[in-house]
Amino acid sequence: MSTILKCEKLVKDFGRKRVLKGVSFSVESGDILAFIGPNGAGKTTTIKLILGLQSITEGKVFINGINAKERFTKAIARVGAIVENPDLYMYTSGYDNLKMIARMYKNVGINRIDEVVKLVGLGKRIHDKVSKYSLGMRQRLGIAQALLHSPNLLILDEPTNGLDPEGIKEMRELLVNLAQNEGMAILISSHNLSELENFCNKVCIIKNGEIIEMSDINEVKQGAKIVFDLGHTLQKFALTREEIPYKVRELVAQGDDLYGVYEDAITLENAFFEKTGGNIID
Amino acid sequence: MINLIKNELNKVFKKKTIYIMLVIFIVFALFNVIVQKYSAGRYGDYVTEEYEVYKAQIERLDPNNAERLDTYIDVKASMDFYEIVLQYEAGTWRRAYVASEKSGVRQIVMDMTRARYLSRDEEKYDESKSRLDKLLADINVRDWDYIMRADLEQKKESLAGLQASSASAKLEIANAQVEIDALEMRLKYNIPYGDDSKKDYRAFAINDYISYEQALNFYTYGESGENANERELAKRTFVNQSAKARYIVETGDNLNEQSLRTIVADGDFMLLIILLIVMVAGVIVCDEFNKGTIKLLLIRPHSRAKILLSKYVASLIMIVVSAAMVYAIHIIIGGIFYGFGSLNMPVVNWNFADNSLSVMHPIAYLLLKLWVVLPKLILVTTIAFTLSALFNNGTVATLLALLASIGEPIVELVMNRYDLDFMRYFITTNWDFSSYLFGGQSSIEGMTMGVSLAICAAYLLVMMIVALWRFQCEDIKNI
Repeated sequence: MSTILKCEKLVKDFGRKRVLKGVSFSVESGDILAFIGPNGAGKTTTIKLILGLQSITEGKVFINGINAKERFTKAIARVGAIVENPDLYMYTSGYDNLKMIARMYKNVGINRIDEVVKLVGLGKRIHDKVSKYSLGMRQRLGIAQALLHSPNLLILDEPTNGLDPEGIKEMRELLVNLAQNEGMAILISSHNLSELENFCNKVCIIKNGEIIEMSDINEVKQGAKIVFDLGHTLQKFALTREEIPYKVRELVAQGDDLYGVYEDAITLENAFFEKTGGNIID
Repeated sequence: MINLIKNELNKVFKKKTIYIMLVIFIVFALFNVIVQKYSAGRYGDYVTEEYEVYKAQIERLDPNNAERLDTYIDVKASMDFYEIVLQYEAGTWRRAYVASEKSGVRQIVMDMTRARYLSRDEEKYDESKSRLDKLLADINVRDWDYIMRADLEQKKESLAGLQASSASAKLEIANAQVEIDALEMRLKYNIPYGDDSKKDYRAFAINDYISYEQALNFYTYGESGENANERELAKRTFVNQSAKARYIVETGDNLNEQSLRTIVADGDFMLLIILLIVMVAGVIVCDEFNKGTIKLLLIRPHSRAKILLSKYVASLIMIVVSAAMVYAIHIIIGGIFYGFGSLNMPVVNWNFADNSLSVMHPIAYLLLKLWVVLPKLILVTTIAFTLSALFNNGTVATLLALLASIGEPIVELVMNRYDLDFMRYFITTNWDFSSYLFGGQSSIEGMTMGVSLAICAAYLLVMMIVALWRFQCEDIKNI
């Protein structure tokens, strides 16, 4: 496993306001990192610093071991990305869009375009004007343009936005396939947290410009709670499986009526809210 | 880099702007050609009309009314004069000659009318009448060149008189000489007296020749208020016009005829060309920012400088595309209305560099004309481009660039009016090199082509540095 993306103490000031306060994390080959945080936490800003869309106030970004600030064109060569929305040239066809992107790289031919189109499942609609596409189709085209030059780092900002459940499933399969079989490192930011937990293996939580959690997805999920339905109230306890019968006896002994006992299927979303303490922008 | 430029051109041609402009160009060209074709070329027979007018007036006037006697005499003399003119067949040299001041018929008719009604001197009337009869009899039997030679002799005599007298001004002598030259030209090239309308273009050219030469004499010998530079510029204009008139007389090529050739050579479509280029250059950068597609470009393995330059080069290529579109449309539509034959007739200019006549194919002349305004087109493009990169506002960029090009004459006017000499270093006073064509000089005293070129280059460099600097350090905002 090699480190594909490494951010070191990224700091970004907008005027006097410091929006990123030393963000450090790394993504390894084969990783799918969920980059989550409330609105205004600095997700998109971090992504823009990595992609060179905004200047870095302090800190460093290394892509494939190359300092992106010093040798930008070399560092960015194997990066594919969608930032914010899949902004494409609406006045021309999807195919034309891809052709123009392909022209900006040395070794991307017509065959590769057809391959990618097939991969994201745009089919014949690729020759329609982008302005006639639904948001979901634009999302697919966005992923197509990001994959066109076979990058080894994929950065996706809200990629599931606008996709139908079928589309989300397809994309999930596509990304898992890319990570596992081609060793691509993938960074995804999303508000649709429940979609991420099923296929990402790492999670990075950012709040107010600081990373507050960076761990494996399983670690976040730990600390699952057992819910005891007492009819008039729900009580939650952090218990191991072995401890449950003892707790049941304890409650019954207290004279409580126990209507049910079940595992609180804690989602990434719950974990997220726990860590961030809700959606507050300061 | 070439691929980036290809992409930019691809985007321009995929947008609607260029096609909307294409339609505007076609509509404009149609309008232009139709107006030119149908506004010219109608010559009514004014003699009959005049006669009818005077005839109607005379019936309401009374020769016995002393107060209005002057009016009566004027109207009566005019009516009688046109009655005489009408005796000659329309379109003949005799009719034209009788109708013109040269023959003196009108003056004699006036003398006769005055003798009869004002001084009531029948003897004088008869004397004038016999003069008129003799003159008309002469005209009726003689050939046009006989009459012209007589006129020439008379003019030569009066010139000799002027030269002999020490009191005569140089201007007067020079002007008399011009008239003699004109008559000699008429005799040499078989140009009878005509009705001097545009229909008889050679006679018309002769008259042009006289008026331009005499204007030239005025600026050479006369007292005019302008300074030396303005005088020199005016003189050059007249030298050029007179050379053209002379060319028409000598070759019989009607350079003034409204045709496809005049559209190509004299048409001024600068504004149309500029309109399209500023509409492209003014949005080529900021459109990407406003639509968020700039992110698609900047996350590629190309430096920002390269991306900006590719857009600039694409804008410059659009200058050629725009000019080609405007002129191709005009040539096609003009050709449909006029035919393409007139393109064989050359464009004639006096070349001051070697004091010779420059005779060029209209298309070659057109290319030359575009070549000398290329600095202007490039700079207008650069203004739109830089403003677009600077403010991310396509409307501001497009309109300001357009304003700069439209404001060019206003700047020069203000400069001359208020004597603001520093304005000679403005961009608009330097970017048009048309005045240097054919050995010409700048309308601003002391400016030379080299200085103007250096000024243009300096403006260009500054604008490009500003645009590059801004584009390099711009943070891509959230959209």
